[in-house]
Amino acid sequence: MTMHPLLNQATTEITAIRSAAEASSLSADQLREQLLGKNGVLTQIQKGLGALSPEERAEVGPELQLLRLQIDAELTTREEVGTITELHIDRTLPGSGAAAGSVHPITAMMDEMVGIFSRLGFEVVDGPELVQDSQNFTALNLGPDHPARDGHDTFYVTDELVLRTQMTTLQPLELARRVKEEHLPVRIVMPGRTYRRESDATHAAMFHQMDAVLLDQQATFADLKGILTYFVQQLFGDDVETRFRPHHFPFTEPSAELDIKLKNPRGNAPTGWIEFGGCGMIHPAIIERAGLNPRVWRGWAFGMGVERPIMIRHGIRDLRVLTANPPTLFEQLGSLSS
Amino acid sequence: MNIFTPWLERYAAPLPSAEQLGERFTMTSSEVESIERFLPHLNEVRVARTLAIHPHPNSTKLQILTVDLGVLGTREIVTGAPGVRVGALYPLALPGTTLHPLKGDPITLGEREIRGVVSPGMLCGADELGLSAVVTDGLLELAESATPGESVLKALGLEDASVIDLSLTPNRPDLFSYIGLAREVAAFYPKARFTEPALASLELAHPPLQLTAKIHDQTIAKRLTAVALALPAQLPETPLWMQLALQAAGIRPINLVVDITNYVTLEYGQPMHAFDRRAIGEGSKITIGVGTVADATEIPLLNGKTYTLVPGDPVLVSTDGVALDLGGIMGGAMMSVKEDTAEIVLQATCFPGPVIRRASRRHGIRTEASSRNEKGTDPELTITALKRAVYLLQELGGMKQISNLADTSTKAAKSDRPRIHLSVSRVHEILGTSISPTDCRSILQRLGFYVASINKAALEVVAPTWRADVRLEEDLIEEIVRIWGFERVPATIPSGPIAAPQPHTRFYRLQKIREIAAARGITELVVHPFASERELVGTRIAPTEAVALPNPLSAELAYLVPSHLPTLLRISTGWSTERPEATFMTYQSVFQAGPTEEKRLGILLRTQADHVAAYRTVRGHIEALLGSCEFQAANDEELFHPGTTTTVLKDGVVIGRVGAVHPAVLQYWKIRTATTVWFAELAIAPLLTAKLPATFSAAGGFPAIIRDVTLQRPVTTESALVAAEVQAAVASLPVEGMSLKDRYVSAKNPEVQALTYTIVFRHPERSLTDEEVNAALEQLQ
Repeated sequence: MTMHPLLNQATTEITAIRSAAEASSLSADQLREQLLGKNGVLTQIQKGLGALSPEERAEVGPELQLLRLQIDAELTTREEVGTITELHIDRTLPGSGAAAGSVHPITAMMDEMVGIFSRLGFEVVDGPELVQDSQNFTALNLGPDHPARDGHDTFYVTDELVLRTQMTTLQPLELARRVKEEHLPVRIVMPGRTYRRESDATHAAMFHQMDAVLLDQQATFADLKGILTYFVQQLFGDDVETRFRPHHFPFTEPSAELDIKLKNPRGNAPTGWIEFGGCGMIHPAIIERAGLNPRVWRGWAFGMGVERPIMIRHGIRDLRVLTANPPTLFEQLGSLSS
Repeated sequence: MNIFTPWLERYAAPLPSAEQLGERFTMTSSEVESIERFLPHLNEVRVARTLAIHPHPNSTKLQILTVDLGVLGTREIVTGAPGVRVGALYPLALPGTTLHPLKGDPITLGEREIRGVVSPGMLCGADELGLSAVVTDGLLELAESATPGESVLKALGLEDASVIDLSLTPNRPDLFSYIGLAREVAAFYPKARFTEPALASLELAHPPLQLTAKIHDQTIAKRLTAVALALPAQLPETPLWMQLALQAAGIRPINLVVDITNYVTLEYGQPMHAFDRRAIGEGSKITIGVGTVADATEIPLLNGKTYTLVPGDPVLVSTDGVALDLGGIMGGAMMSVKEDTAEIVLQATCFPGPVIRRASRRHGIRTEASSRNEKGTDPELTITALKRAVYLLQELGGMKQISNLADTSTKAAKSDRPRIHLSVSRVHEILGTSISPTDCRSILQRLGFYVASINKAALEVVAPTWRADVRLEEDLIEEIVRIWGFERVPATIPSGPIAAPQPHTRFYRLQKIREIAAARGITELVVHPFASERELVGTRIAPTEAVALPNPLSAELAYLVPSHLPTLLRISTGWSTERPEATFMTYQSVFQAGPTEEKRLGILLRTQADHVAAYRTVRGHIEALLGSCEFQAANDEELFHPGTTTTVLKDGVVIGRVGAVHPAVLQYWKIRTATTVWFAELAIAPLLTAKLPATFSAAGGFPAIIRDVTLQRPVTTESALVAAEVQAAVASLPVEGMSLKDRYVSAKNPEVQALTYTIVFRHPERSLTDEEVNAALEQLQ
């Protein structure tokens, strides 16, 4: 498309005035007068628009007006900002302040786990860490002589008070409370700190667990499988396989263990099947003690460690680094890229 | 439980490969921890046939054997073993092979010169191969069917022998035995047929010895079964197959009687013990009893140590009431089978599990026997296990039964086995999938349950005596689904109703606090709440304020901390070289003597800045996290630098304190004096409840006038007083906001502080004039 003669004329005349102005060091004010003033070239040319046909006017008019705005903006900048010089910045300098604050990887993982369950309508429940031993054991079908108590290396604080050994400890009280408040059915998650008297690369005296409990009148083991499969996929993406195998917990019947296997384990993450959590249908005695008829109400429960998925995801071999809190932990796992 | 596959195959056959068997165990029964080949190094030891025997040129004791190794050719081997003969097959370890004898260190063989003759290998005895504990000069003679050149493992039929380590859950004590495992295998792997081993009848027409069994204390034992036998003049050696089986279980072969009792313990899961008959009593009428001791009684046990038994400890007792052992846990040193033992009394006892567990804990003794007895054994087993042991003692040891079978039990031994109703609809309700009644019945029957049909949709089931853990319909459903296969249960998403959610405000408000803290450059820590006494004292915390754990993991972790300060300082010390400036926060429980528990927010600031700046930073953090608070100077507390203890109030209620950490505490934690450390600890749980959202009010429409005003006042004047002075001066004008912009104390004139306030004036109805603002501010000097 060829340029309209009027536009052509404007460009040529403006260029001429600009070079003349440069040669004679004209001020911005004077240049504005010559270009945009009452008798300025652009004003004169715009006056010529009236002689054109309506079609031509519609084509050239806006173009000239745009030219006027651009020149005006340029001159205003020259008047008010002055000359802009180039900056010289070393773009190879490192960023500063990157070692900012961060949420601890354990709480971040707990938040993530709770988030997945809350999307399925689960509410958060918490409770004390110092509990009656009857609450920690007897209420979960672990009587004083139950052999499974041997597996719990428990910190007794007094003869009756213990540091809770598992988050399941909250389950009976919470179920009873919900029944009393007639706030049924139940979908809850219970994240928190738990304690066992042991310490090695994969066991710490203080660690974290999260339990999930669903209680209604139609819960099934198939639902439990469905939810846990969804949960594991939300945590690890498609890069994970799951399997359920028999296990024993005094507070669930039937009971199962959930194992997961990463297709592409990273770093020091374990290969092969990894024990991920325990689960099962809530034992009828627990439902009964909560004040419900176990022939009508049934449910499932799931419990897992919080450290384990962090170790798997980031390839951590010794979980004690998580509570040792070295700066490297936050440098490597504290940012978005982790 | 270690499973030696050739042993298991005696009761459940045919078995699949160890890997397949392990996979089935894990997926239907109990988890496999590991699978290892049995004595894999013996693959390198070859079968050699003796072709000729030559005398050694330099020794009368040594001989040179020409042996045939099949495809590997022939060798000339030097041996000192007696009784070698032409045509016999012996194991030959070639140079480079490493042998693991049961006694002594492993030996790696080289090509050795023996009295001037080089021997390219060594002919071995069973002890040298690690197959037998019996040390002998003789060679292990292999069966005629072996082929020269093949591996000795193949010749012994142990080519595929593996040891599977099974992790058992406490509800399945029945799997702590080969018979229990074989039954389980036959249930989940129907190709394998379950076969019970041979038993003796124990019926004897005219026993020369009258043996009575007596339970002296009904709380100590449920059943006691015993029988006496006479030993032959010479006790035969334990056969190799039994020695191998015991070794695979990690039990050292000792002598035939002990080995058989151990073997049957593993076979049936029922521990038993053989006493020298003289320990029970002389004469033709003797009584073996079980009970406890009346008073503290010293007794030497088989491990060579002497223990003081106390009332409640289980003991087997003689006719005269003498305590013989720590019953169900360990035999007595004096009463066991010795060189000159001619007659034995073999007994098996069923104890209540807790009796054994308590005694085992009390004395710190754990044995094969106690680990089974403490789980509780099937009362029906004492007699079966005894019959099995007597069968083996007769067959392998040539022993003779000399007494009647003595057997007594309490009411507790009569296991109450409920009739359990199992409906097909309940199976579907619980699992969310259907399993046919035929499948249910078949699975339960293979597991040894008694099953009768009530109608098409219901079964009546009674658990076998060894499955006391199965009492409810749900227990049966677990049995069925695990064998049927968890993998066959579909994965579905719950479709049930959801109750109106009660959002957990505390959790979500804490999330927000953590986010704000992180955005302010604070690092959140997760720390364990344990500390040592030394750390508490070093942090100027009286140990009496803390909770001392009765059973701590170590002295380093002996207390639960009453404050976050020691744990945060511990981490801070670790960071000091890499990050001299850092701010930590944590929100966790701390524990005070009582004991009581309280969740507290802890903040630890470590900076190179001065105390004033550090105080203002911590205060800024607290107000950013919790909203505006009051800060009041308070009496000195031990933790804090004198003059810095500050009480924090929110809405008029004390929520905690802030202060500079005491220099002595910093000294203890090796934090350099040039560093300033401030600590805040706040009980914020009450603040984390639901509250109404804040209402937003937009700034008014008339322009604001913003002015800075600087006042010079003595440094001792509190800023709040200066601020009040400013406020008074501008009281006639509408002030929208006022904040301290800067505080400056020059080095030249440290007695004076310059405080600069920024004040925003805005009138809601008109524009303010400079004149009226200037007039107000001019009053200030």
